[in-house]
Amino acid sequence: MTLSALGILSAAGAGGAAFSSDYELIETQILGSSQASITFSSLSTYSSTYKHLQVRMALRDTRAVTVQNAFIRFNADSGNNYAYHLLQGDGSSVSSTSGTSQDAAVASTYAGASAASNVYGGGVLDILDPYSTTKNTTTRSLSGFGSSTIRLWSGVWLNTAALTSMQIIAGAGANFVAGSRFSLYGLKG
Amino acid sequence: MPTPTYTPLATVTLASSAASVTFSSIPATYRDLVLVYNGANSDSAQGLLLTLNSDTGSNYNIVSMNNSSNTPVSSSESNSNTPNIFFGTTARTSGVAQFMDYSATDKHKTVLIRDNVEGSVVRATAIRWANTAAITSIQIRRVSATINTGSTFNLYGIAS
Repeated sequence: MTLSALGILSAAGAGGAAFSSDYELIETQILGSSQASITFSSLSTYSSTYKHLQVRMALRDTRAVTVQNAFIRFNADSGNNYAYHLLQGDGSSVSSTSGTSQDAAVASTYAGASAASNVYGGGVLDILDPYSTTKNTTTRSLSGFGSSTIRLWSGVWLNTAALTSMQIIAGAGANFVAGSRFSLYGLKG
Repeated sequence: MPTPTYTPLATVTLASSAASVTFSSIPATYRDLVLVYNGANSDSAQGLLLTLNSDTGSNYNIVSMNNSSNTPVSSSESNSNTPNIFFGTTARTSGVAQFMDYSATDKHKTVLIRDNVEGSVVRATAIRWANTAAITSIQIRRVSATINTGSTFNLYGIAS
């Protein structure tokens, strides 16, 4: 079975006038040059509109390793107020680790400079109920790239404040390379 | 100004068994694609093979982890021509495949998959297609068997 009418369907969606969705693009940042971090700010603007947020990423950085992790901080809090858990597969075994009293949670796993050219790690990060003022902010992500690694991350920011900003930081002092992409979406509740 | 997205592009529900399902003429209008599937196939020996832009060459790199009957395992394959997205037989498989930056022309294409086989398997997979071309077609196929009647495949586009 082959479907070839996608152009017609996508045109209706892209036009926007007749298309509604409870999942909306808020902002995309595609790096024009390398930099150590990106920030989505003024997120309180969306507190009455969205229940959950999602960040979709395609990332590579300048550090001479194959696999890197990007970190995330909320509301500019760089204190040791984060924890994470990891379940990962590296092609030969499955392992798990965790950390408490961290100065950031983990947003995604991606490709370092030792990965083959044009390899960017993909990541989908969910930030659940970030505008609640009675819950710590929790995250989960699926990220990786074949044939190196597949990782499931969970994270928590031990703070019940509503989210106002998030910063995503390249691992180990590296810089995300030009072309790295961060897209922020809101899901209505 | 927020933009509504997660746009339904196409839906397939197999009214009869089929050897493959192909989404073709995918426009470069969006940034990511999401394929949601639920179904089964007629042969337990194989899963479903993913073919992008009709490329059946050894250009796919895969890493996966799953529970494998309570003993977690991970496997990988480099330069493969059989990128397997897995499918159950009588037990249905449900999964979500994320095609990241599918329309970019400066990146290899990464596909992130989370799927389950009912009652038995939980799994996560990353596939890298070593090609910078924008994805214009996605084919899910069986080599020597068929995809069962009633299997569903829903493709969405996500703008950026």
